[in-house]
Amino acid sequence: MRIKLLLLFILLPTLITFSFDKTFIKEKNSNQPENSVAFVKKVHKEVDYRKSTQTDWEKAVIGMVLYNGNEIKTGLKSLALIHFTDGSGLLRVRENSILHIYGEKKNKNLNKNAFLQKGLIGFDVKKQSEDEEFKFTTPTVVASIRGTSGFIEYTEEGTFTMSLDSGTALLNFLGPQGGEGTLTEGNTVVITSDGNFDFHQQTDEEKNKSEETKRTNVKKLIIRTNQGNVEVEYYAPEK
Amino acid sequence: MRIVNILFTFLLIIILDINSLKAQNATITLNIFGDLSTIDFAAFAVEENLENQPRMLQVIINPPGMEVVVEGIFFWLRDRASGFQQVGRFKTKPFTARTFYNDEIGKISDIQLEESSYNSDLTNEILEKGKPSGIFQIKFNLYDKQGRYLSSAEDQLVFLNPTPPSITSPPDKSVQDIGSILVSWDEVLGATSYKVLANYLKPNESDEQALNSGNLLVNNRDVGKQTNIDLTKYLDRELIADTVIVLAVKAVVHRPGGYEELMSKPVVFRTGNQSMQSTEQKEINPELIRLANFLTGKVDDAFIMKLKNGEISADQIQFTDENGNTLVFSDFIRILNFLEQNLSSVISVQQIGR
Repeated sequence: MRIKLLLLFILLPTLITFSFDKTFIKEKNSNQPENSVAFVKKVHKEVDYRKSTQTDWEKAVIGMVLYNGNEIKTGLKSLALIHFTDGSGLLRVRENSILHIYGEKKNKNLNKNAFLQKGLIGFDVKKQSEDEEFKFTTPTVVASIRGTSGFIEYTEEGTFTMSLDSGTALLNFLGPQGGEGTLTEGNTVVITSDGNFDFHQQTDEEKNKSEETKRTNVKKLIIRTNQGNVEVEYYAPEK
Repeated sequence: MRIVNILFTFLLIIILDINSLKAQNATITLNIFGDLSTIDFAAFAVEENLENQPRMLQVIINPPGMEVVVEGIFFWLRDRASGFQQVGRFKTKPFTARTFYNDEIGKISDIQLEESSYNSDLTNEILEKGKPSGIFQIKFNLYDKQGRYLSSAEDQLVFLNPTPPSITSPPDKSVQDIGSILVSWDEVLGATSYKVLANYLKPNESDEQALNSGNLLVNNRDVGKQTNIDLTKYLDRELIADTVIVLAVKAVVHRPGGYEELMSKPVVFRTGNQSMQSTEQKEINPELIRLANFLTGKVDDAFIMKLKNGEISADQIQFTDENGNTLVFSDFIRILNFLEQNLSSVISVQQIGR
């Protein structure tokens, strides 16, 4: 009898613990594949996220899953790499940016919408299937892309810039005058807050900016001297 | 008898006075002729074993026929700072006064040397220059047979055998503050003005190529007779920090029928940052100057100055990456190039104490 009681005391807590863990794992797994839109592949320095505009900002960590309506915010010299769960593309959220991630499942496809409230994003989006969407949205422009790379920027003054290294983008202007346009590879469009827009060939400065957005490899140069050390941290191109 | 004595004395006085007047009237005159722009030092040598001396000086002694001794003294003004220095002196044995030339002294039987002496240090220096340059002062004293002074003549020879100017500042391979770059050079006697030229020196470009290119930083600017200037006052283009500059100075010397420009040996220096305090004599690794410029404003000024003035030298620095792996100097330069060209990629620069 003593032995039975002893076994009961030892086994019962273990069984209860195991049972709860299993429930939690099941719940977690059931969420990710069905509702997740993207996950955080890399963060550096100050990167925060929140589930919606109604919740508080929290620290973003590597591997964090992003759901429909989640936001990512980066601080000075900070970086977040966002990978879409369907493998359709990579967003490099550069410093001082706020990005909202939206995703809607239709049949087997995931229609993605990245709303850039402000800041700079480098993007590399794979070719989408015919009935699949990938959109960048800003307060003034919606850009639909397919197999496109480049950068998109929206300043606090309301200036929209999109510059493409490859692929094309179909642009819908949300301003009072409305309208559509197509941006092609090697070109840039700049749309000011008052609706003026300028299509032009990528300048050297814009090419450099595009290259800058691709630098996500955090490296250090440490200079050690008998008068003290200096540590230079910098973003280097991915090898 | 008393009258005879008085008359004799009177005549003696007259005769002596006449002779004295004769002696007092003896004159010596120098005539310098010919183009002295390219004369050889041999013109000054009166040694018997020297031959083929150039004839440049005529000595006229009047009246001819009296027994005289001639003394010659040569002084040389190398530069204004050193003043005139005696190069040599000679004195002849008594000879019958006549007109003669410098190439006859000591070689013609009637004009023989009694004594001669030379300052060996100065003569060697002049000989090393090959051709005399500067100002030579010649003084000829005329004495009678008894060694009594009769007359003298002197003249100056300005030799337009100038050597090119030599730049004394900035020192070669030095680092200069772009706010003010003092350039000075040795005075070239006979130069009517100086021209300054400078240019950026590109990698793999020779000094001469840089100075002969069409778009000079300082384009043959005539600065008059001054021998020191602030280079930044004569720029034809913008002077950029952290660049390599080649500099030369030309002395303009007028010749019969034209002028000649004598160019100094070029000097190469690097421009530093505006905040630098002084030029540095010691050789400083230019890559560390670049590093200092890159770090300016990001770490404390004392560290920057130590990099710039060589207190922290390349061999006292170890470069490592984020994993502690040692980087060779060429890796450091490659990274520095990247950082300089991509300042926006720099995330942070932190100085960690000693």
